[in-house]
This record gives sequence, structure tokens and C-alpha cells, in this order.
Amino acid sequence: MAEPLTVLRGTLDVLVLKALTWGPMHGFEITAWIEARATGNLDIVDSALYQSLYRLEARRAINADWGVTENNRRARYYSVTAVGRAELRNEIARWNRYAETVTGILNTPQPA
Amino acid sequence: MLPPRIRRALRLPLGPRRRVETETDDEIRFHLAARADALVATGLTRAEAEAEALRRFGALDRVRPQLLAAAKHREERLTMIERLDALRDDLRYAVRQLRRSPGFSAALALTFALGIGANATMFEILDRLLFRPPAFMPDASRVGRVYLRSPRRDGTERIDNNISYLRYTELRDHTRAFAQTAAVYQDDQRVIGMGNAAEAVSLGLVSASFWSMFDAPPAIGRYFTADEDRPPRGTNVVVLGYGYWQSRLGGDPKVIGRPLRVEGKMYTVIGVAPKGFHGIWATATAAYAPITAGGFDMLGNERYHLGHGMMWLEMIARLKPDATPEVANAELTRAFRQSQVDAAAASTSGSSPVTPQILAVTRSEFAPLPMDRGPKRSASAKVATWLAGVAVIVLLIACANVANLLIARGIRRRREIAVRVALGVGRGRLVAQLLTESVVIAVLGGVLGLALAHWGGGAIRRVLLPDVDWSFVPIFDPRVMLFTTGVVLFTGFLTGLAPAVHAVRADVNASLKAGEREGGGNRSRLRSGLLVAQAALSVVLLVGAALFVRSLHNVQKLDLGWDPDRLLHVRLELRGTGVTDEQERAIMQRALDRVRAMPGVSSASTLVSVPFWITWSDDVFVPGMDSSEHQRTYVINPVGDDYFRTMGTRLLRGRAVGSSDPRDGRKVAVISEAMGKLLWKGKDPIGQCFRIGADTAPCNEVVGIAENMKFGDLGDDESMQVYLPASQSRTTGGIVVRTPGDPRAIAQPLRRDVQPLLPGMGYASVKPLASVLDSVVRQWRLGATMFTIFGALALLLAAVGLYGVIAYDVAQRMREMGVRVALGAQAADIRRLVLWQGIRVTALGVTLGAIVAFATVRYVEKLLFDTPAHDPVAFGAAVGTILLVAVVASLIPARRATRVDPVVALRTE
Repeated sequence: MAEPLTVLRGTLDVLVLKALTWGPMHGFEITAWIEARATGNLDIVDSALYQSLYRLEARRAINADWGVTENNRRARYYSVTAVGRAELRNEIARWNRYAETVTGILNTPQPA
Repeated sequence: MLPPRIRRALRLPLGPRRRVETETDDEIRFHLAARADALVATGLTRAEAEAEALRRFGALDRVRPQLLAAAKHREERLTMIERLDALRDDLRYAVRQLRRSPGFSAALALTFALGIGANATMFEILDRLLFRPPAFMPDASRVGRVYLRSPRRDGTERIDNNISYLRYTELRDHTRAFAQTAAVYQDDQRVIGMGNAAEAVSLGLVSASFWSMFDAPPAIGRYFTADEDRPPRGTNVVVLGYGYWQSRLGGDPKVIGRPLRVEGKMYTVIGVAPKGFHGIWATATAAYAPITAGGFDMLGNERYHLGHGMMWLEMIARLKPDATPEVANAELTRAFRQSQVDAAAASTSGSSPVTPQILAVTRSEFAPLPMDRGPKRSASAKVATWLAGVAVIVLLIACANVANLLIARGIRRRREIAVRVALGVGRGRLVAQLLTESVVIAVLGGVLGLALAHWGGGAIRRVLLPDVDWSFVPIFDPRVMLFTTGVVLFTGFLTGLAPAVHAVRADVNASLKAGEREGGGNRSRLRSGLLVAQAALSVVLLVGAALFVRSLHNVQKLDLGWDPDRLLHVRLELRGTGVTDEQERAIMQRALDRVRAMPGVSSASTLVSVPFWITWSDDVFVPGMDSSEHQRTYVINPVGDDYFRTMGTRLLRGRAVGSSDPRDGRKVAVISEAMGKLLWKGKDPIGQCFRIGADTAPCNEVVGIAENMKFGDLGDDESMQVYLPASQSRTTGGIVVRTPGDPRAIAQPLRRDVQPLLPGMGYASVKPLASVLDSVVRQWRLGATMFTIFGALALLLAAVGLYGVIAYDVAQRMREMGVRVALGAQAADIRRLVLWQGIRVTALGVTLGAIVAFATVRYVEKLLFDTPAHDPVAFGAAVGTILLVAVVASLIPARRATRVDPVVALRTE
């Protein structure tokens, strides 16, 4: 398996927002959600995730609330706000455009 | 689910900082546990799982502080956002409430505007008089003025701010507390220019050190240096004021190096002071010359720098950073006493010896720069200080009024507020909302008040304090704006707090159940208390107003012994023209003839001494009498024919003197009645002899007795009048002119007619004598006008407040009134009931106010004229007025109450 990729700061924010569109989650659920989809390709330090969460919360892209897990443990649950949804939409569009453009250039066939 | 901000608020007791820490730690702990659980599920042992969880999280000792910081930052941001949101909501809510009842809101804003406007006006006046530092002067609080205190012969203390040049140098050289000292002198009647372009302007004479007290680089050119300012004669150079340079010389930059005639002498322009520079004075100065140059040229005494005979300049100084005013006072006093001793030793004439007793009470003092904060502060400044206090009272009354109306409305809105409380809005938030409302009203009032202060107050300032140059009062003066903002916030909170707490404290359940009719049934003690306070404060103001009005009235009906209305004084400025005494006498005669021939002049005469303005005094000796027994100010006044008729001074006995008395004939004099009584005690003064200046001088025979004259003091004037024939005196003065109509109308034509009679440098100036008296009467006029304006404002506010509360109560009690009428109460009973309510509250306030006034008036007694502070008429008038107003304010709602239809009142819910 190839070496996992380091995740950039801004990228992590988008991933978190995307995860939360599935519903309110606590921090570990978000990590697990992303890891499940990255299939080992992304290397996320767990504390960086919380940095990202606090950042998002400070700009009111997400809300936080204490709740109780299935195992009856107190956890901080995050949910995405209208501001966060709008941010996510913009970021996805930007990401796609960027990725398409760069991919297109990189895949230009070698001149004969 | 409650919104997060409420949850956050509810958890506040833990302390926001600690709460964030524990929560963040909880979250980390939970994460590590969840991760470990997940790893155990994949087959790791518990210990391996926990180690792996920690590894994935990152080094805890490094990461935890980072996360804590991020969490704290997050909380700060969120709190701020919430506060701004809340404020925005409150503002929106407040504006909506205010727009719902625009009339009510306008009334409140207007009430505030009157109070705030009064305070802004008084602040501006006091700021100019007392606090505002001179422009361009850094650290002005360490700069002050030097005063001398010495005993007079009669034992009273004499305080001088004017000192001689020699004393200035002595005080300067023998003190070490000062970093800088300067000698300054300003005269607003000095002639600059030539011929018809000559005009009397304000001239400053300053030492070269003056410029270093400011941080004001010249607009162009340079200032003069210490080398150009050396006694006995400084260099004839001059620095122009910016305004003079702009208006008279068109702001021409080539003016540097040009000659300028100042008081007839040639000076060279070397620089222009920057725009807005006024030195230490309130008025603009046209030009500044070295004090040693002006002293030599303009004082008529080229030995001005020797001896202490001429006390003409003022000393200002800046304290060294490590020196205190006490040290400065001690050093100044020591230097001053030494100077006195030296002067006595150097004196050849053997004038009054300096005894140890005199030295012991001789002091010098360093006091703040503004004259009105020093030992010689003017009565007008004292009155203005009182008026500032009065303005605060007006504001308090306005606040009480607005508070009362807000409480009344709060009661009407009780249901709405109860609904909001029931919906979960915190009481703190509700109070904040209601406070926002009163602050918004206060801001509106502040804007209106500033407008009032600027335009309305402008008239007051110019009329009542004309000595201060108000021409550059900007609309948005930063100091006034800052002050007003403070006042607005203060009044907004002060006014809003009581009504807000009152409204929110109400019982939710009761309010929700009850209808509006039960809302105001129990009148609150708070509201009555506010009414009592208003009435009390109004009484205090009205008593003050009445006392000052009576003082002004007493001043105005005072018999001055001369009639100041319709009098002009013409001054012929002949300094620097080089004419001889003989020529001057001839010019004066021609001018007098010309004036007498003018239409609109009923009579004219020459004179030297002018009441409250120009005093020539000398000692008087009577053969065979010890002169120390009749130490007074003897005003010597050589007068022309028609003097007594022109001044309106009655001649009681004997004959007048004037220019028709033969020049070399028998020396004669008219004296005032009081002088005759003082000197010859009951004996007939006519035919008696007295000498002027020395007991060897030739004898003047008394040929007439004139009525006493208020000359230098409206109170107990101790001055004695001596009128000599102008023909027998070498001193020429000015011309006094009586007109049948308004003297101001002919002032300018008169000046134009006289001017051509004067040689090149001469200059004629004309001044109505009423304006001289104006400044003397000003303190009472200021007090009477402003106390009356503020008193009327207070009365109006109190009346509106009383009316508002009683009318509101009556409206709330319509049902009760209906029941009373249904039970057989007569209209008169109802009326009495309502009236009594208003009068009871007012009477209590009036009693309190009268007691307060009675206790405080003694502090203003010195400022009154011939009016006892406990004047029963003043107190009676004040109390009567306010009771009358209370009756009228209660009568209207009382009449409404009698017109209640019981059927309608009982049926409506």
C-alpha cells in the first residue's frame, strides 16, 4: 500500500462539513466516517480534527452540543449550520473545478 | 431544544475559562476512549489500543494546550457574536417600539434634548473659561500664572497678576522650580498701520521665551530670539497673528522683512504665527512684539525695566517635571520678599518701609493659567460654575420625567413583558432591551440637544460672555462631543434602569391573568418619589432664579449718580504722533466743537476719569488734618463745560466747574457729597480748601457739591470724586457725548468726523458707556437670565411630568371613578380627589426643595446684589409658582375624571 497522504488544513474542514451533512456526530464518529471512506489513503492526526472543529464552530459553520452516546457516555455532538452548508457547497465546487483542471493538464497525452 | 446561547448562559456559574478547559478535556478523554474501544474491537489488547489511540491523537503535552487555546478563542468569538446579535436585536426592538408611538417618543427625546442641551451649553462655557488648554501648548497643566499677594494699607489683601518688568526678572532668576518662564502683556487698543489704515487692534508683547512654551512652528518666517529681546531696548521686530496676516495683508508670503508701523514706531515683520494660535489669550492677537521693544516704545517710560512703579505685565511659567506647585510657591514667595526688601533699600524717596509684619503676609503664588481658576477669578465665572450645577439639575429633572413616563408605559406593557418572560426570555435580557430603548431615546435627545446648544446656546454665549472670542466654535467640537456622549449614555442608563427593573419585576402570572384595567391600580412609590424629587429640584432652581432676578432688578434700579444710557466715550489716541501738550489741547477743542455740532448730539464735554473704566486717582490733603484718617480712592477728574449735564450727575449746591474757568485764576473744584462729609464732617465744604498729590501743592477751593457717583463698585463705593476745571489741568482725556437716541447709531459717523482732525498716526475710538457698565452688571444678568431659563425649563418639565402621571392615573382609574359616581359621588368630590393627589405630591416636594434651597442659598449670597439669600419674596414666589403650576397640571385630568360615564366605565374591560 502506498504511503498515506497528509491532509491540508482547509481540506480537513471540508471533509468535516461533508461528514456532518450525514447528521450530527461526535468527534470520533467524524474521524471514523472519514477514515472509512479514505480507505487508508489519508493520514489524519486526531488532534488536527479538533482544531478543525473548533475553527468551524468559531465561524458558526457548525454548532456543538453535549449529548449522550449509545453507550450512555457524554459526548460533544456537532451539526452543520446553514452557514456551513453554504460553505460546503462552495468548497466542493471549487475543489472539483481545481481537480478537473489540474487532472486535465496532467493527463494531456505526450506529443508523438 | 434551547438555543446554544441560552445553554451557554445557564452554565455560566462555572466561570467561562474553567468551563472551556474541562469541556475540552472531557472531549479529548472521550475521543481517546472511543478510539481505544474501536481498536480493541479489531483485536488489540486494551493496553495496545490505548497506546495507539494516544499516538494517533498526537503528543498530548503539545497538542492539548493548542486545543485549549483554539477552544478559548472559539468561545470568545462566539460570545462576541452573541453580544453583537443581542445588541442588534435590542436596537431593532427599541426602534420598533419607539416608532409604534412616535408622539410619545418625540416627547421623551425633546425632554432629554432640553436637559442635554443645557448641559452642553454650560460645558462649553465652563470649558472655555476654566479647562481648555491654549492651542499648541503641550502639557498645559504644568503651565501657570504667577500672582503676588501683599497687604494694602487698610489691612486687606491685594492680589496682583500684573507685575513690573524688574520683578519678573527677579522672580525668574531667583526660582529654580520652573523649566520656562515668560513675560506677557496684551492690549486690545494698540494702533497698527498709518493714517486712514491705522486701526486699534490687539497687540501682544511677549518675552522671547514665550515661544518655547508652545509647540507651534511659525506659518512662515521665524519668531524673535532672546538676542532681540534684551532690556533696555529690544529689536523692533514683529510676528503677525495668522488672522491679521490673512485679513489685512491677504496672506502675502512676501510680507517677511517689510516694515510695519506699530504705535507710531517702525517694526520689521519677521514671521507669522500658525493658524489657530492665540497664545494664552481667548481672543486673537494681531501682532506680537518683543516685550523689551514694546516696553521701550509704548509705555511712555524708557526706564520701564527699572523699579516697580509700572506693574503692567504678567508672568507665566512651566514647572520642571520634578517640581511641585508647593515648591514653586515657596521659591516665588522667597524671591518676592527679597525683591520687596531690595526695592525698599534702593528707594531714595523713603517711601513706605517694608516691615517684618508686611513681609510676613507677602506671598507669591503659582496658580493655573486660566484667570478664572486663579485667585482673581471673576464673579461671572463663579456664577457660570453655579449655572453648570443648575444645568445638571435640569437634566436630573428631565431624567425623572422620562423615567416616570417610561414606568407608566411599562405598566401598560406589563402583559407583553410577562408573555416574553413566559416564553423564556431572561430577565437580564429584558432589562437590556428596555435599557436599549432609553439609550436610543437619549441618543436622539443628545443630537437634538447639541443642535440646541449650538444655535440657542450660541446666542447666550455671545451675549453673556462677550469677552471670550466665540467666533471659532466649530459645530463638532471634539471636547463638547465627548462630554455630550458621556452625558447621553449616563442619562440613558440612569433613566432606563428604574423603569426596566420595575417592569421586569412584575409578577408574571398576575399580569398574564389580569386585564389592562388592573395594571395601574396601585400607584408605585417609585413614581411618586420621582415626582417629589422633580418638584423639590424645581423649587431649588426657582428660588435661585428669583434671587438673581431680584439682584438684577436691584442693580438696575440703583441710583448710579450718573445716567449710563445714551452716552458715548470718544478716545483720541495721540501716542506716537509727537504732538505737544499745547497742540493736543487744541486738537481736543476742535474735536469737541465738531462733536457738539453733529446732529444727534445733545451735549458733550471733555473728561479724564470714566466710571468703571479709566481712573486717575491721587491723595488728598486738608490743611491741619491727618491724611491717614481719610484714606480713600480720590478720583481726580478734570472736566469741561457741560460735564454734569452730559453725565446726568446732579449738582447739589454751588456752581459747576469747566473749561470756562480762567486757566491762571483761583484753583477751584467740585467735590462729591460724600467727600465733603468725610473731610469736613458736618461743616459746610463750600469755600474750604484741600490739596491734591502733596500737602505742599496749591490749594483747591471747593465751589460746588455734586451728588455721589458709583464709580468703581456698585456696592459700597468708597471712591470720592474731585472735579477740576479742564482749563486748570494739564491732563487731557476723552470726550463724553450724550445723544437723544440710540448712541450706537451715531458711533461710527462720529468717529469718521473726528478722525480727519488727528495728525497722521492718531486714531479715534468710540465706545458706548453702557457697554462698560454691562461687564460690571454681567454677573447678575448672567445669573438672572440663565437661572430663569433653567428654572422655566425645570418648571415646564415638572409640570409635564405631573400632568402625565396624574392624567395616566386617572385614565387607569376610570372604572373606580365610575363606581364612585355610580355610588353617588359628586363631580366636586371627584375633582377634589384627583386635585388632592397632585397637590399632595407637589407639596411634599416643595417642602423638601425649600429646605434644600434654604440650606444652600448661603453659598450664593456673595454673588447676589443687595438681596438677602433667605429673601422671603424669592422663596414665596418660587413655592407659589410651583404650587400654582401643580394645580393647573392636575386640573385638566381632574375635569376629565368628572366626566366619567359610570355605565361606559364599568362595562369596558
